Amino acid sequence: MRGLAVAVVGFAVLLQVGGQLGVLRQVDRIVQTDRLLLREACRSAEGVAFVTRAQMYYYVEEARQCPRASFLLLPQDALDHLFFGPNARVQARHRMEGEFAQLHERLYRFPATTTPARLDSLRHFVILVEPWSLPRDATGREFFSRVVFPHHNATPLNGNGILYTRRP
Amino acid sequence: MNVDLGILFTRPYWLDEWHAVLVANRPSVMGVWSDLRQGADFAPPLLHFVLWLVRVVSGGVLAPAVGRSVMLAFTLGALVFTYLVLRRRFDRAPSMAAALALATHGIVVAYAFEVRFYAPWLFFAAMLAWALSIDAAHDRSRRRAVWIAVASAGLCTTHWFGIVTWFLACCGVALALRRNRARAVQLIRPTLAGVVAFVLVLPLFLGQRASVQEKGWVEELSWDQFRELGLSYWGSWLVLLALAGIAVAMVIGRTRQPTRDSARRTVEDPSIAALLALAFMPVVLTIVSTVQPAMLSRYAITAALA
Repeated sequence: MRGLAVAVVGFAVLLQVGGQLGVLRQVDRIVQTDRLLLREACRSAEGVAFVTRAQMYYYVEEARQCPRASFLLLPQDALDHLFFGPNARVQARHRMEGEFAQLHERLYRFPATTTPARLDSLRHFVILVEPWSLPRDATGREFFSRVVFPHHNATPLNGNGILYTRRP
Repeated sequence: MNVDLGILFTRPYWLDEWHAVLVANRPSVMGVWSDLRQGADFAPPLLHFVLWLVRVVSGGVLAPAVGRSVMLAFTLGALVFTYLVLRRRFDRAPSMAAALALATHGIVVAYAFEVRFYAPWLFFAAMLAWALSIDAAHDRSRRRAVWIAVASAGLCTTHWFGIVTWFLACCGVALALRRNRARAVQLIRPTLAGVVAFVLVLPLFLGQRASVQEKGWVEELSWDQFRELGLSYWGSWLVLLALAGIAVAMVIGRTRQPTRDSARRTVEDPSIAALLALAFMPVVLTIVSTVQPAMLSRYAITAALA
């Protein structure tokens, strides 16, 4: 009976490790897809920027070797337009992300930071952004594009990326 | 079936891990301290010092597999200490089942493979409980005092909420030994090394608070958070199953008295009481959250030891 109890608990441990493996594999698939996208963007786009460090830091090595890759500092007026009402609390997280990015840039020269205004001067660039960091509705990407890059056309790419091309 | 365990160790670091690894990549210990004071990571320095040392010893690069192996070692250490604490009072099988039960918790498993503070935090909490059980038959023991002091210092310099774990463990000891104050004082006095260590690293906390204008990333306290946190630790099927088993044994005639006697002796064991008291981590975090939001499951990881 006691041996059985130990075996049951041991089996529960294995299940938990298996569950963790499953989660990590799912994340890894997304990371692999976005890594390809990042490499391609670094080769061909005039700029590449990440909206969250949670996404960007999976590719520290790649981003360090890609002078065009940077972290996007969203200004307060953009945050006001993107996250309002019950979503306004998300603003604090973005502001904090920006503060941490600048701190790390100062201490470790990574990540490089950029602003929407700087990207706006480019003809085409890629923004890497995961859906959870955008406004929570069905049109999150379109809304983000309209607010942050109003002078560019947005084209969704494979993975968590959007290609912005300057309007003629 | 292809079971590739490598991903547990070799996948690239993610954001939170980089916060520790970038600091540990500094050439000197002073550099580590300076970075932490400037807010490069929001934590006391022990994890970063350990990683810095591991990096230096392992040839200058802290590979993900190396960093995560260290974290797994901390988690396994916590399991071993838990087993040793229980083994003093229970047979081999129940002690082993209880120690393994620790690794059935999702948070414990997740952080066994992440280069963050949670595995060391768990380790030092279990180590403190074990240290309390050293030389239990003796009123005075220098060996015990040293181990208690080391575990307490580790606990309070691994995570800022380590001091909460320390406080709860001390409460557990005091409650278990409420009829023997002299012994309670004997056991609790060396734990003050944790408070001393905490005070020594407090300048880092002040520097980290001053380094950013936004004062937190955790959402404001809500009932849902409390429910989630409570369910995460108190509502696991294993905990409920164990409690149900004890409850049944306490009402069935033949096992009632032995179970009650065993339960009483168990909660009066200071080292087990120190572990049991950690069940209140979610409650204390709720109280802390009225001032500074802190309702994240991982912040209560030591509750899994209860």
